[in-house]
Amino acid sequence: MSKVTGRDGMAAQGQYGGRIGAEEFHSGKVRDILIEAGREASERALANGKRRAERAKAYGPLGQTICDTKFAPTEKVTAVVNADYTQDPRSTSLDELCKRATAACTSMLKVDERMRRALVQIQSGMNRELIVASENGEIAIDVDEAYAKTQGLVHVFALAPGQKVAEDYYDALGGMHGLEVLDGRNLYCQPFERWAMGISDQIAKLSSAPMLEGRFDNVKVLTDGAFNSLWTHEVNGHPSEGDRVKGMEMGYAGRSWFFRNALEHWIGKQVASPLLNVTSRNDLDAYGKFMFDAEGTRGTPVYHIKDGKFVGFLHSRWTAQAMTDMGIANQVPNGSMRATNALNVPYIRMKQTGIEGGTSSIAQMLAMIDDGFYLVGRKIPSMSESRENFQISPMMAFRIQNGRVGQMYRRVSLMADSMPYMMSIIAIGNDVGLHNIFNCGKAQPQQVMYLCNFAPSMLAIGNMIGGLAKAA
Amino acid sequence: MSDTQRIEVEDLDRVKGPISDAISEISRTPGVEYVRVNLRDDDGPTAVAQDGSLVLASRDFDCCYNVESYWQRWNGCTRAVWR
Repeated sequence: MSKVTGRDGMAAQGQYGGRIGAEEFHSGKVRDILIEAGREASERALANGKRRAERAKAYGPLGQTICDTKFAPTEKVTAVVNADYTQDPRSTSLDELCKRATAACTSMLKVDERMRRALVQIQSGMNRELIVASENGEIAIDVDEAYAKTQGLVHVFALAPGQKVAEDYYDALGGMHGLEVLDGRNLYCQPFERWAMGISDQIAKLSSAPMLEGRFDNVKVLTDGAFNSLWTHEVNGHPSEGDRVKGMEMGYAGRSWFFRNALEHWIGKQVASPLLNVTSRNDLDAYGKFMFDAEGTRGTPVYHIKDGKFVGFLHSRWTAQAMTDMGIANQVPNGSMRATNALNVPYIRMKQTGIEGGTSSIAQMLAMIDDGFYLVGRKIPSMSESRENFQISPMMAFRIQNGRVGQMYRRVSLMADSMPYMMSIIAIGNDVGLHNIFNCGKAQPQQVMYLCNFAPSMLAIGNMIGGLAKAA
Repeated sequence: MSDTQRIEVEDLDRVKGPISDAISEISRTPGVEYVRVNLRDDDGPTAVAQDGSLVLASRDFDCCYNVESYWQRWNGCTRAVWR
């Protein structure tokens, strides 16, 4: 024992994580391991609070921005959540999985002579997490949540005769269930093999398509649900994360264009066409479905954009309280604190963020386009630091003239400033679809998260950039 | 490691008591106001094939934990801490 005396400190938290092997687990050492981890975490908390207090004094007026960590209250909870599966991932034969992956990969290569390479990864797993927390010496959170997850991922390369640049694409079919996901219990309602061969066929055809030449500014662009799921993920979802808003991700993932500081922000103000409604939830049958976050807070729905006005963030207990202390009203924890595994420090992650459906059909929106583009599928996002502008590539694009679908192009991008683009939305489709994202990365060290985005088709005005860009 | 030695998700039932015990122990430290333990077990197979050939086959088991301790504000007083 040692004593720390005579210095002011601030309230702060500390964390410590590690792995447990079977030998340690079965020999009854878990209690001692956790106590030792708790000692490390407590010392880190103490050192954190001490250093904060020192900096608060040293920085003068700027030091006033350094303050105690406080947690917003959440409900006391005791809950058990069981996994939902029919084919237990743990009893799945590895040999069978290997044969299935190899057979699918071979079939994909045979789809078309333009196919050059194919990769298939199939994984199925069972996860169970215990979340127990005390406040003032009493157990307040006691959560036991399990879920299954199964995914088939493909990455394909195709090269057409006469083309110098190959076309490549990767995507995944998955769900929060057992191996039955690969047999049709998925967002595409089809077996993995059929879906994978469809991807191969699509990319082989696309490899023969020309690249768009030049750029087209301020044109009408119809985007499908898959593209918009990626768009809303990047432009609405990420900047709604409370830790980005507080600047905690400033050096890593970035900040938020919705919030500059307590006096300059877009809360309650129009950031988009009144047609746009963006929300986060955690109850859809797709990736990102869970009942409690890593703090044991029950996941609750939250609107980010309501009738075009920005209204809410994704919060942990700390970010909700911190923004409340900044004088921002109605900030509550909504179960958004998650980690890739228990070893990592949890932080704020999207769960199931998306755009609510509108009233327009694809045919109605196409009829509104004299000269523009139709973007289908999602490929690569390229985002500014605070998400205030974007360049996002679809899987493919079609030229639209006089409401008719024309030439198919590959390697194109939609580029725009986020707010003008959102204000320019002309119509939102009635065709909402769910789209899993299996590779959302954030922070340092990077944690890769599975989640879901949902979106309908949408018609707005933006700038189209070709793969063979020339000055306009 | 034999299959009988690995940690199964059902085994987590056996550590619910030890987790609560550990939290009680950590909470007894003066100044510690909040303690959270996350303990998670992941089991499952993975297969990867490239260009028609198998390149990876594994069955992964991972059990890991994270402990968070929250130390309330303390001012000029003597605090006993571990170590």
